[in-house]
Amino acid sequence: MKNPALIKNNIPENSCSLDMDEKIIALAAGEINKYEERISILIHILSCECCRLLFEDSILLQQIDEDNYSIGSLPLIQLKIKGSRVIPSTTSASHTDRAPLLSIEGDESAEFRINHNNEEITLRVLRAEDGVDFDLSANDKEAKFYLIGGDGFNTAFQYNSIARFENIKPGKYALTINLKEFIFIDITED
Amino acid sequence: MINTFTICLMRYIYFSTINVPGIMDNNSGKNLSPEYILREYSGLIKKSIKILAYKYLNRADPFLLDDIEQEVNLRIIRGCLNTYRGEASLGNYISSFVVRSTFLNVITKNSNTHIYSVSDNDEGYDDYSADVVSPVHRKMTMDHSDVITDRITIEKIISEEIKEMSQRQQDIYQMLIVEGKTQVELSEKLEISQSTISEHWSKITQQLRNALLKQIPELKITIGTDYEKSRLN
Repeated sequence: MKNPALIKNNIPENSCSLDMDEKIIALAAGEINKYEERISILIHILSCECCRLLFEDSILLQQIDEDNYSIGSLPLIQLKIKGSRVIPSTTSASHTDRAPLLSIEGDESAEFRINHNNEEITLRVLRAEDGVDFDLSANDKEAKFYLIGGDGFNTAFQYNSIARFENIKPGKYALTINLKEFIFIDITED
Repeated sequence: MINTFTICLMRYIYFSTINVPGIMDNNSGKNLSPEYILREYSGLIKKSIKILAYKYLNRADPFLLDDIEQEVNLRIIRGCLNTYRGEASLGNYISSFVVRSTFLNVITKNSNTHIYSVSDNDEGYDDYSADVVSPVHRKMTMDHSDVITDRITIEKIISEEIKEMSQRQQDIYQMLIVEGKTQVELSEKLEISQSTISEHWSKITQQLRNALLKQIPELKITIGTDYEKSRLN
């Protein structure tokens, strides 16, 4: 028989005043090499409720297989900048399956259609001065686009049915409108 | 007619940039940019949320789990991993710290969420608040003073109390604390799941706490400070 127990406001704050979180996680994973350090952390766990719960949950979360950390079927678009041209890869399986290429216009732009969490997104890549521009459109006119790269992230809304990210330099990017599913875009320069 | 001011305003409204510099993982030497984390660890994040939902929520609302996943990813792209020090592996840090803290924050703020804890007793579920987070434990957590307790005495009490526990609990303590085995080694050797190990550990901790409090009542105000003063390296 399962007895529900409401414990709102009874979970201790998930922070330890001694910044022990990583040591607790490492102990649960068997990543602390010295016995002396392990026993010291154990003594702390006995005194600190939030660290005890963190330790138990860390053990629980260890059941996730490291080999399954990433998701293999995410859409990936690979682009190469060569002079004034933008060349999409035509060999990537995930590219063709999940983000089909619609058109290439004079080698200076390429257009993709992507099914993104039941939302159809059209991505048009245009050669720009320092890299490329992304012109995006979605059926949901209120959609907020996130472009996440090495230096942070940009956000854009649609205006006249187009959201634009400008002068995107070669690198690796993640594009999303719901922060849940991602379209990964790799841009290289020849 | 659109003037320059309007164009600038439109750009401000429809396009914005937030810079979050990536950090280096000292263990792997890789640049931990938010994009890299999302690409490599999106599966881990989804699975961690499911495991925590199984532990803490009876019937998880899929929309709530979506909210949690979005919140985790938002924290990552805003640079929450800048606090990562490299003491634990990155995957374990993401699941146990970033995902878990976000999960607990979201569900405790959601007024309609009921939280449960799975136990291996006959009842199936424990009242997590009434028993586990006892007033004694709260006092131990909250009250750290400058009184120093002899660490050797604490270790001796722990080792004596461990002998009173079941063989399975002794094995878990031996492999996890004394030998420092990984969870995979522990699970394979004892042929039990991490879920069961976690539940055993909960009982081990409670028994050890009770033993310590019984023999050294003042310990409740000394352990945290003692740890800091005896910190190794």
